Amino acid sequence: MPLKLSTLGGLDLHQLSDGDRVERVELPGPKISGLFLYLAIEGQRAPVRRSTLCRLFWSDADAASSRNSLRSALCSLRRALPHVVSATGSPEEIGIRPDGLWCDAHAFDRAASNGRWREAMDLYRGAFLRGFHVAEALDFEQWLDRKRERLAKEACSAAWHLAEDAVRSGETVEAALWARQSVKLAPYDELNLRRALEFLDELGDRAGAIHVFEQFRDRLRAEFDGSTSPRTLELVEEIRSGQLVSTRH
Amino acid sequence: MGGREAPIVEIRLLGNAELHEVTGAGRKPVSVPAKLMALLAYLAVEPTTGTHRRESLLGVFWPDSDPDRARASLRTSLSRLRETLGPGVLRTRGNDEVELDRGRVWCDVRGFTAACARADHAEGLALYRGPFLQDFTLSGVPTVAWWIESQRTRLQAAACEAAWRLAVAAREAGDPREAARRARQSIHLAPLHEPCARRAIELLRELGDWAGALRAHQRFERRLRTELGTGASPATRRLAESLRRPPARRDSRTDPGASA
Repeated sequence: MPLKLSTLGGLDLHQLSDGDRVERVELPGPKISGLFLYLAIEGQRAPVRRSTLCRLFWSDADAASSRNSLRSALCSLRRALPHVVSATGSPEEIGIRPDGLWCDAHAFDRAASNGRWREAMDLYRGAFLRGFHVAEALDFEQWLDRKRERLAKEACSAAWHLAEDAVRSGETVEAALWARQSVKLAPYDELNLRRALEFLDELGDRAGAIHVFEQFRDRLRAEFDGSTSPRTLELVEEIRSGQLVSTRH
Repeated sequence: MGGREAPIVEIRLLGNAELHEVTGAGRKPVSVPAKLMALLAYLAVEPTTGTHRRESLLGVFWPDSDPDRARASLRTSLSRLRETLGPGVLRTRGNDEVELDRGRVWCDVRGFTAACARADHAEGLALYRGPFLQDFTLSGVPTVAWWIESQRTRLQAAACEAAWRLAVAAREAGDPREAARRARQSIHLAPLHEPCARRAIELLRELGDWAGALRAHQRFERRLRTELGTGASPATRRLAESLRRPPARRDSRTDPGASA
């Protein structure tokens, strides 16, 4: 596996050379990096059309000049990463050689869809391509956003599976850690927050529940000048006053 | 296309255009030039029932050509389509009418529309891979571009509505997580449709997901600014404001500025 692409937690691309030597690969500029990343993520299932790449990266240009830009970007990409971008049966499509590239996002998907939650969470080191962006490529940015959100949601769900598994094996401390982790992974999801608060309270971690709530509330206030819903506040009150019926301990 | 067992022609137009020949042995992609794909899409999607008159096809696909040349171009295109689709799939009625054999052609747009019509919105949305003929370019024929655009708008609105119906159904079934997920999906499917965004944000608020509602509002507002250079209407802004106002049952034991 000559190329190793890490996307979860930030972008990192490494070439595995002879022996065990690992070299970092720098791609020439954000647009070419973006092009490679899109192909690496979406092109492993099925080849990607040139018209899709033009829309993602050169939507403001007319058809002919966006095709030219794509051609020259693909040339640069082929120079930087020989043998990774592949031709397909159709000149309209660009493929990626699956045997030439390992990508953590794909490994994460495989682990999560096979119920290997621990492995999935080991791979999920942070938000998909955190900090990466391509200027004036609105459609690419939207793809990035959706992908980031979907992977975070998958990770949140994996965290809950681990939390429930931990409860079943009597690992209260670990269960609480995964529940807290789920809130970090879904920072704008108040339904998930309430689930975590109830879960922590049931584990007998009232302080943890209140702390998680306060962090969530403060971030919401800082970012949107917003408030949590009355339902969440009522739940927090119930937790504080010990009115919530505990069933787990 | 061809073969002893009559294959089914599968036309996918929701998302990138795809044409497949389906036989007992599997699915095989078939490649066609853009104008033929557009003509096939038109034949598959329009009209809801019945046949196509050649005159109406000429008006959409060769509006500015000399009538004789236009008729000849249509004849050539239809004959190439016949070759591509296999015998009997594209049928002629008299001199003037053509139609696709619905028994031999499956089209996702029709599947989507039929599923939505029988209120099977989940199945409808499973067929909706993206906007109608996404990334499809056919330059020089504005009438076709308009037709594609009108279909895109119509189907996008239907997909948004399907997601919304699922959100409402999930709320009524007592499944707030699914309701919130479908509400967000409805915004994503029609990202610049303000009434759709507003009702989804209202539903998130009603579900007690004020953080999710604020986030959805922020994204919607950002997209309006980037793509349309404008902000949301007063109704949407008032809704967002209502999520910033401290609820009546304020938590008095915590200091607002303590640990931001």
